[in-house]
Amino acid sequence: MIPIHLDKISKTYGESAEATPTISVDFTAEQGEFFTLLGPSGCGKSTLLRMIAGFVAPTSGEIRFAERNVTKLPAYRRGIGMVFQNYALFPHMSVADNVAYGLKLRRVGKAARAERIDKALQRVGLEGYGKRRVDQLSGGQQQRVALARAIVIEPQVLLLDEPLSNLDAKLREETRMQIREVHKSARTTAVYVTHDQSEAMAMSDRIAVLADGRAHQIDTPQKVYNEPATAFVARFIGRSNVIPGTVVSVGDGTALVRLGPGDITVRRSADAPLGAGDVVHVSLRPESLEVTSDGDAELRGVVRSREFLGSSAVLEVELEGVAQMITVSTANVGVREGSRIALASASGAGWVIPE
Amino acid sequence: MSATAARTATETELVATVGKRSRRRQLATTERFIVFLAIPVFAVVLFFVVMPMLQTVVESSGGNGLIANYANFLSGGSQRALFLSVGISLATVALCAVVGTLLAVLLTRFEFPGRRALQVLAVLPLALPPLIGAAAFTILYNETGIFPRALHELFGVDPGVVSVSGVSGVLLVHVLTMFPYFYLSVTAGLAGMDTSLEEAAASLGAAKWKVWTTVILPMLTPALVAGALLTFMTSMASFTAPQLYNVQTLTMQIVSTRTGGNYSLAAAQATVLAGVSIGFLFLMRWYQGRQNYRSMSKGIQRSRTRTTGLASALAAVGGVVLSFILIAPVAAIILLSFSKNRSWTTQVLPTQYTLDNYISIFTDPEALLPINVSLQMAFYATIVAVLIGATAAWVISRWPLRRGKGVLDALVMLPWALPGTVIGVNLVTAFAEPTWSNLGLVLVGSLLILPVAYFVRYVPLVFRETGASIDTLDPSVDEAAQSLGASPLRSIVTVVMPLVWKGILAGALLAFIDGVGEYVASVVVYPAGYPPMSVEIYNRLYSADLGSAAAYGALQIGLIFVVLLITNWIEHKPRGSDDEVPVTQAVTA
Repeated sequence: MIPIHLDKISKTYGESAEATPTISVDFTAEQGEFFTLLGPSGCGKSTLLRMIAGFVAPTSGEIRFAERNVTKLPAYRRGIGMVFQNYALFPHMSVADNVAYGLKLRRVGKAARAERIDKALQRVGLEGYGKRRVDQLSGGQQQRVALARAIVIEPQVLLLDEPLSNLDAKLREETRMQIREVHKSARTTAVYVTHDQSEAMAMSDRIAVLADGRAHQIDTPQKVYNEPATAFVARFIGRSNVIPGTVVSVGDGTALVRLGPGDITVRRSADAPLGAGDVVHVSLRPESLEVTSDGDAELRGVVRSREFLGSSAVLEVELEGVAQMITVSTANVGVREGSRIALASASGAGWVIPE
Repeated sequence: MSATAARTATETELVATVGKRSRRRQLATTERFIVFLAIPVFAVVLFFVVMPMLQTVVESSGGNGLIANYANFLSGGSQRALFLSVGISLATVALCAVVGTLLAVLLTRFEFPGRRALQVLAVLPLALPPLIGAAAFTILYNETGIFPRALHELFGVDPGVVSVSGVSGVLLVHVLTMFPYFYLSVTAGLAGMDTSLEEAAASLGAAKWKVWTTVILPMLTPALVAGALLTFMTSMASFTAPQLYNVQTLTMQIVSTRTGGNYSLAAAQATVLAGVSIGFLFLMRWYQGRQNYRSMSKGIQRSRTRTTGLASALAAVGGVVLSFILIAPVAAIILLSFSKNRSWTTQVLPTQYTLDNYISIFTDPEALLPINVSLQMAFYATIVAVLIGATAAWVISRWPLRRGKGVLDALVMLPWALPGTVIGVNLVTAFAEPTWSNLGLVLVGSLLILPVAYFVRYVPLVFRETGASIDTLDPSVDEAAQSLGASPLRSIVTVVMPLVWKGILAGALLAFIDGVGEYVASVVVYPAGYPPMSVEIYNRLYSADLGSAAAYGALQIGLIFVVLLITNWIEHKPRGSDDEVPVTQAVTA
């Protein structure tokens, strides 16, 4: 288990002078961590993973595995295990031969090899599949073979490039739990790439949310969800209403923000400097708003549409004084379209995002 | 523009240049390995393809000078030859379009007895070496040929009326050997078409003919254009048919001008022909690069209409006649190879049969020499073509830079567009005597010029076949191997090679048989005293030694048959659907 440092890494495409870096990041995946690179397609997350693997060279910056600078080291000397989006199993080899490939290159003796193959297949729930041909397996099984092949060499660094994206929804959930368990028992530092925020939330110790070539936030899933650093993060992770406002006053860990007609109290980051009069955004999760009859509620609006989901209903509410629709998830399923409602946010449910 | 603006512009340019220099692309080791592999490919192609072509262009300014040569070209027989070549090619395209398209529609849309056999036979012409194909047609359809005589015998038809000669002979050979280009592309086009489109048109009230003219034919346009371009190029490059029917096309002119000693004019003619062919290559690439029509839904392919009663009988009879026409060349060659020389005069078929022809070509050392020359030289050429072609295919599939891929691809495919005659002229021009450009390498008069010519002609074949099999690879398998600790070279040996060797072998075998049968470039470059097999065939045809010429031909046909069997066997396809069209990618001219 070793930490992976990406020290001021940037990658530039295009050869003209005005080309701006396509990616520019700086972070560390701590030892033993399950670290996820999350972002929409085209944000550079896969390129970043391929840089850690050694298939793409950064334009500038340094990649270190613990203290070892691997920036100039070819992929095959980095001691990584990698799982690919499309499995990349060797179709001309059996399951066992696929798993054995890395061991043979490491000159592991035959007996030890057989033992480790069995153990690896057992770990991914494929004991007894060794003699099968790869094309006789289902997609989920193939991806588990790919996982076994990557972990059997006991890599210090395990890289996973959207390994679940080719699986159907049910299989995805099963396999992601399995990957998590395998990671725990394999005692390795994992870097995981995905565009699926729920996958990232469920699996990761920490998430780096990437967009426009930079890391918007690097934090635990809870923090990323509850304390989004940017409006992009708030919108990308889960559903959120991001509303512009002005700071009225700043308290200890909270701030009073004016949103149109009403002022609401929201939580704030202790790190970000904030002063009265600052223009900010407020992130309000749909489930943090309550439909109330309380006359003192901060927000009021008219229900424009209502979607009944059984135990709850989702309302699109046109706020008064703010030219914006917001989404409210409520257990009060009786609310009708067209009705005027008051909304209370439990104190501190909102989060302020400085400009 | 004001002075200030001009200065700003210069400064911006300056900054841009500096920025460009300082921003040299960083490459990972695996990427550098690919770029490194490209160097030998580039070097070999530049030295054996591009440099000789340029030498021909330079040569075309020799003698009486550039302007005089091209003026001569435009005024004299060369101009007539160019127009004749273009005219024949246009007619070939039109005739092949009709024959190929009708056959494709018949075979994909209708079910009748004998359909599968006809499907296999339809691509047979692609497998025949060009000289043997053309020679067989003269034996079959000339005034003294088998068909006219048979018709005379049976129905008393005047052989002069039903036989072909001159331009009509060339056209007949062209149609019967080049229609598969249309047949294959239209078949592929029809196979990719969704029935629901036709049903949609019909549901909107279109009658059957309306469906064809408004939906099916427009959607087949890409296939038809692709077939037309390929046919036109092949026809422009055709040399054997014009030679056998003595028609002065541009290819013929090049060879006879050179034989007449006017090297500069021959070079000018070759340059013009090469220009036309390269122009067509780029036209084809441009056209294929455009967005083609594609069905967007995943509908079911239309099933064949089962013909019944009279229609079925007619289709079956037509199928038998077509099959007969397609088999006839091969049958004629094999039949003649057993015929006793000079015993066949006025009869429909030879009357006396013997094994002498085979015995003589295998026992007479002089007759054995051409076989040896062809087999050995084709073998050497194949080895180099595999090394360079497969490396090029790999490099292009994994090319890490933004630029350069298109150039490399076009360079390797360039000889595919060049007519064999031009390749021959290029080589004898560039490697005639030691110069700075050929690094002192002289090939004229040496046997080695044959494998070089074969290599140049068939490296695109290996390149394409290997490329096709690399395309079926999961692009990350070699990265997976490297992530597990295999070096780039090792990942190629342990993972890539086991997966693509079939494609490489298929390409190599095709290159080999095409090399053994090569005639068009050979006739220009072969050293005196060492004729390759095809040249020997022509010489023997010329001296009316039909039997042994046919025996050489039968030998080549046998070799091709063996190769096709091997290719089929290694590809080991499970007996697939009957829509599979056997494709033989013999590039012939």
